[in-house]
Amino acid sequence: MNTNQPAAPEPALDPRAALASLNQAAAATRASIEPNTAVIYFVWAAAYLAGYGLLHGAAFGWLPLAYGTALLIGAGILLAAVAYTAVAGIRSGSRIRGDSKFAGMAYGMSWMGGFLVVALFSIAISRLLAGTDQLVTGWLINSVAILVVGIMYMAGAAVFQDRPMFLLGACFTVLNAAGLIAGAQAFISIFAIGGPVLFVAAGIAMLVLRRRETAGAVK
Amino acid sequence: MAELDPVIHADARLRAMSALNTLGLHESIAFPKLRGILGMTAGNLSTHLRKLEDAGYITQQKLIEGRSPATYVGITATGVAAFEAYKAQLIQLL
Repeated sequence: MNTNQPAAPEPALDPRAALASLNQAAAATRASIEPNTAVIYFVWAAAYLAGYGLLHGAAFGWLPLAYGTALLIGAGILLAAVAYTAVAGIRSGSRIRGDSKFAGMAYGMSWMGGFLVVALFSIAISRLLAGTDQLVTGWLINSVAILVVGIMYMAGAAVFQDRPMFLLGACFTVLNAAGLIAGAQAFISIFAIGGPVLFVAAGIAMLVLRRRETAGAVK
Repeated sequence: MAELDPVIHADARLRAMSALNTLGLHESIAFPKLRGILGMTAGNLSTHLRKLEDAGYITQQKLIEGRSPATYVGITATGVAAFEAYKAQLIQLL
């Protein structure tokens, strides 16, 4: 008796099923090698809302909090959001080798370098403007910080070919310009409302894009 | 129309090629991470990757990470071209 079984023939091709399978694999890969940007944007929306909300409450007296204390708590919230983002980025990039590894590392280091300079600038300008209204000092420091945020998102968009990220960076740049034009009294309100709104919008946009990918829409 | 590429035609290899194409040229992924994405057994994935490697569509690089051996898998330029052609043919068939 011949026990050698002939190779099983390939099943008949269903182009729609094959494309769905192909798109599902692509979506699963993206989900595995990229951090969940929607969650990251929502984390930053919460951080901006809490951070600038505390500053607003301290500056305008609706929170029983000294401005300096609000600034310290805000810095803590900011560091927590930075830590979450860094861990998410490092985890998603693990066990991948190649050009993207360097791009991700360089981008992360650029954020750190930018905000190291912002921190030093904050100290320098606080000394220079000692005795000036804290709102004015905060206005200038935050405008420089948001300048870095806007540029980093737009540059990141160029590196990672991420159009929504470019739009987010451009919106932050516009928001920053609005804050500078509006003046020291209004900037916290603009960032406390505008920042979270932009991040939530970006998060929702990323969720919608990811859902479309997962659904396996034929491009 | 030209015949569909028989190397990519099997569902497991099509999904592996799609994953590696998404990762991109000049990028490679550790074998266990790719296995997790595709939800395949190590033996099954190894068999299909060998066929893709024999066709020149992918490369498998064995190296030492720390003290452990690791295999990294990446798509080649030939593989990208073959995958894109296969995908275009599928779309034409719809």
